[in-house]
Amino acid sequence: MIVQEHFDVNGRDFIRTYSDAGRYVVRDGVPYGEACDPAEFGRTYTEGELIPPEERMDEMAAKAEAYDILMGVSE
Amino acid sequence: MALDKLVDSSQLDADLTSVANAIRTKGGTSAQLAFPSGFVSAVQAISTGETDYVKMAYTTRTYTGRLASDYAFQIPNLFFPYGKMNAIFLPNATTASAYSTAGVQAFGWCTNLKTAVIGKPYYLGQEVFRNDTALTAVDLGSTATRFVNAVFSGCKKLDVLVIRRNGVCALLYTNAFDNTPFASGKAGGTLYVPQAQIAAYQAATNWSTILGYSTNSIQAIEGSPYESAYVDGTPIT
Repeated sequence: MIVQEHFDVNGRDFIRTYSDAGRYVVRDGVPYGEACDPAEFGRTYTEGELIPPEERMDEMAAKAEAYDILMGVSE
Repeated sequence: MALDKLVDSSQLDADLTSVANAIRTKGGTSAQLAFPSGFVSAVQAISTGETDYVKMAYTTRTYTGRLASDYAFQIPNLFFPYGKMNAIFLPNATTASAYSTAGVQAFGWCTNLKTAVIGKPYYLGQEVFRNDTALTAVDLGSTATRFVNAVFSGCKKLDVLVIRRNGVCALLYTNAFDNTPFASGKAGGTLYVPQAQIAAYQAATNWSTILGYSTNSIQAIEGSPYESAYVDGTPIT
């Protein structure tokens, strides 16, 4: 299912669109992992193919954190 | 000297030989090591960072002729992690092949990398420049069509990004700029694109958010220091 959340950037209303099923959100043939747009644009998205596991945010974040620890990279 | 322990000299010799062999193996030598001064000097002579150099040398030899050609970006993890490399100049590199894996972490954790020129990329794979903490400027030439996730994440000094394509390079995740000057609440960065594309970037999905942060700016390549040169000053040929 497509999920939309509002957020604010410098007083401007934006909408973040993503799939709660781990799929791309697609507009004009472009598959986004997540899509953030000014709310007034009124853009709509459809669900696309499943995002590959290696590209999913949670897996990537966990892996990156492990690398950072190993490499001594701190925030 | 106090003698308060019994020592099995044979066992001690064996133990010291074992330690000496380990030092010799690590240091790449077969020399006899006198105890303790020889052990100390041998350990001190083992150069640090040698792994990076060896890997880089191996990579260069294996892919000679391709680093500046069409394949440099197609091999996942090719350069990861090569801390000694401080500049990449690949004016002919492309990612025309495998969509989902091209370039994954290709230059990730290159912590001395300051500038990068990838002249003809089609697609920037996941985490291509992740945690390149010294990286300040990247030039992506005129062909890049899309970024995936975390491409520049952790590049804390990245404040110049040049995209020469006459069309918007789709930003598939805003986290491409996490923990960079382009991110929310950070110092800010400048995106250089063709004059004719500025409005399109300002309206583009995800780019509109990044460019919505007041600290960031978008400028025309035309008339900028990058109009006729890559970010490292090397002219386009």
